[in-house]
Amino acid sequence: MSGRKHLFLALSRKGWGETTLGLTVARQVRDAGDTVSFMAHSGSMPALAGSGFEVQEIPDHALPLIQVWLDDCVANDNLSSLVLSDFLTTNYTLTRFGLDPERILDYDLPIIAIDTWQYALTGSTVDVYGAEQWNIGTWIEKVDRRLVPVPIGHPASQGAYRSLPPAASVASSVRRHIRANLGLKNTDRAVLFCTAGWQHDKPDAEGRRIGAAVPKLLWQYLENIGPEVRLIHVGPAPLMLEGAGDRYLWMPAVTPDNFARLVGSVDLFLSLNISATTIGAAIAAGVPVLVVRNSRTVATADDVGSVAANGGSASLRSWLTEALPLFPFAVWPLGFQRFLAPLLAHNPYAGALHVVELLDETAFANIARTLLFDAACREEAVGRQNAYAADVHRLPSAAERFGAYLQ
Amino acid sequence: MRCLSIHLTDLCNSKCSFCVVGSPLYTTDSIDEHDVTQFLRDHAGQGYEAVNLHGGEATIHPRFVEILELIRSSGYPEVHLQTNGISLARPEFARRTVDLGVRLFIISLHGDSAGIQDPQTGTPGGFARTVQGIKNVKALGARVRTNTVVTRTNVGHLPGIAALAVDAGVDHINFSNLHPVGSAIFGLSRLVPAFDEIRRFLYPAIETSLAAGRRVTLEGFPYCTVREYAGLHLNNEYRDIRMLYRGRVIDSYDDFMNDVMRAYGDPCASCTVREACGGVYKQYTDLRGWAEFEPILMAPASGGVEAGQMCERAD
Repeated sequence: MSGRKHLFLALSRKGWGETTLGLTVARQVRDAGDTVSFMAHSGSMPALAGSGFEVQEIPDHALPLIQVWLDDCVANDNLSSLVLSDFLTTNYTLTRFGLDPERILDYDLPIIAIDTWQYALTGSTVDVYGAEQWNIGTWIEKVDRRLVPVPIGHPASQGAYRSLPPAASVASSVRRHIRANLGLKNTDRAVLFCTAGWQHDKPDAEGRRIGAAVPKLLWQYLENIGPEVRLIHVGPAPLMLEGAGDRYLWMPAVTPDNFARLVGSVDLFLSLNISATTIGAAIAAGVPVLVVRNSRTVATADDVGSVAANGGSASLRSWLTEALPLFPFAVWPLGFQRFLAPLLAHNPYAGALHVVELLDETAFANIARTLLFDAACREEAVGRQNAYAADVHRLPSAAERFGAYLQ
Repeated sequence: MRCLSIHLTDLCNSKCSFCVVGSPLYTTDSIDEHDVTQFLRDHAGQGYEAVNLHGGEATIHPRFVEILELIRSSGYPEVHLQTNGISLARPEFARRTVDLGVRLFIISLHGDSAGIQDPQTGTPGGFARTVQGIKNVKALGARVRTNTVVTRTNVGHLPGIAALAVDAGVDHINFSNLHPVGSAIFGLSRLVPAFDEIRRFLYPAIETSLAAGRRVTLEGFPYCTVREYAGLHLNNEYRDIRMLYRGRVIDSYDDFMNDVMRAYGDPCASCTVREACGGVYKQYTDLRGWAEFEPILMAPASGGVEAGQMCERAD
């Protein structure tokens, strides 16, 4: 044991992605001989269950007191560092509860921020629901010790570390068992789609409309590919997909181990969030990934002709009457399109995945069909993902970056 | 009753869609045999009345016989064996297990025909061997309890399963609420029936069993979902089960199930039996919510029920 102690702040309230990133770093740091504990919002507790770390749970009603607890920990626990897992969720949650997140910088100990979004590239203004903006603060500029997880970060960035799970294929007997449990016949093709709590709990009317509408369009696309296509959805609540019947199966969230088994048992991973950590699990499992985004603003039906080939099919136009106005998103249903554009430009991560525009129904159908049914295309897609993964695994580990920051 | 409970192996010769320990998800065994033998030696002579072996399928463990011999030489009074019964279809194997101290066989019976059981267990031919296994150990004078996990596939056949168990001479018939962990989390909505459907078939199955003079118990059902049979809950009597599970010692199996595996919801707030009940499996309410549950406001009449799934008092 090194004698060093680190406190990880995991304040994500409706998603596990940031906490999972922190957990991966924490495990590596623990394996290197240091002691780690967490201060975590209740919403992150399932991600930490069974991790073996000491966790102080912070429910919503106790968040206003977190500054007091932090002060106490820093004063009495002889900490070697405070780790923000990640910067955005720390800033967002503390700000939302009327606290000053920058006070963290006053502590006389190293602050390490997981810089998921790489603010040096993206800046601090996030586009949300088309017209809105979140200003997420610039105080990360004062944090010198940043850990940039790859993906989604650029591998050449300062602080970049490998953040892909190791390759792990699922045994054929396990795959057969899981597919049988899911009700899949030998000829069926399973598409896995995941949602997090924040993608369902949308206080904004724009978010609610796009939140409800987009999965319906995706299902429409998938349904048209063929009767063998099944949609497996993991998320906090089922999607309202009219007419899907038993071709749609909803599952509540599962543990990371079981998620790895599940993703390794499907034929295609479909995502509406290019930054999702679940994409990393699909890459590790050798399952092709198809990401859907929308780069265009479609305000009225008259605009459709400029964004969809031949004005779109009748079913697409019908869907648009429900969905309009449509705003750009790379992270459905929030947006983040303009925010993420600089990070995704020239980023090998984006090049490793199939990315398709939401309104390009022909491209979606062609790519999804070939990834599901054409063995050569699947092999090519997985090969591209594997090549990216191999490059990522040559990066330093989180523990190596972490250790270097504390020397 | 005080007993030790040992998860002997992750591996199984069945592939049950609802396997509570997820055996079909394992291709190698994570169990260290040394942990098992040390656990048995550490607790010898401490008043434990039985050792319950389970898995996976304990009978396929390569050193199953040696484990039984160690249990006997360590002075434990008897062995309870949870099994799918397939190995017991071989008469010589059945006799050997009885000779080595197995007094109670807890045998999984998930259908009243091969057409219902075998697709659920992923074991073609398994049903016939299970039934033969039951007959073999009954012929040797051992006690048999069947355990039926209630699923969407077999729920309509519960009365038939009860009748089959009665005909086979089973002493004790247990029905288990599907615990949505392990294999069952994959496609849970396809596997787990709603409680109103369960009651429709479970109650006639109970009546069939009781009318034939068999002991009947219910396991893992929230009390409000089977309130007419409150006296049949398996955990109604005191039991003290110390479990070794994948290298971890669980001091009290019942506390573990209540504290870790189940949760209370709003309907439980005013329920008079909430502590005994222990709540509802968390994964079930994640899937279906709390609408099926309501508080029991009157204390139920107690029933004479024996100790539990992991240990059973000698008849």
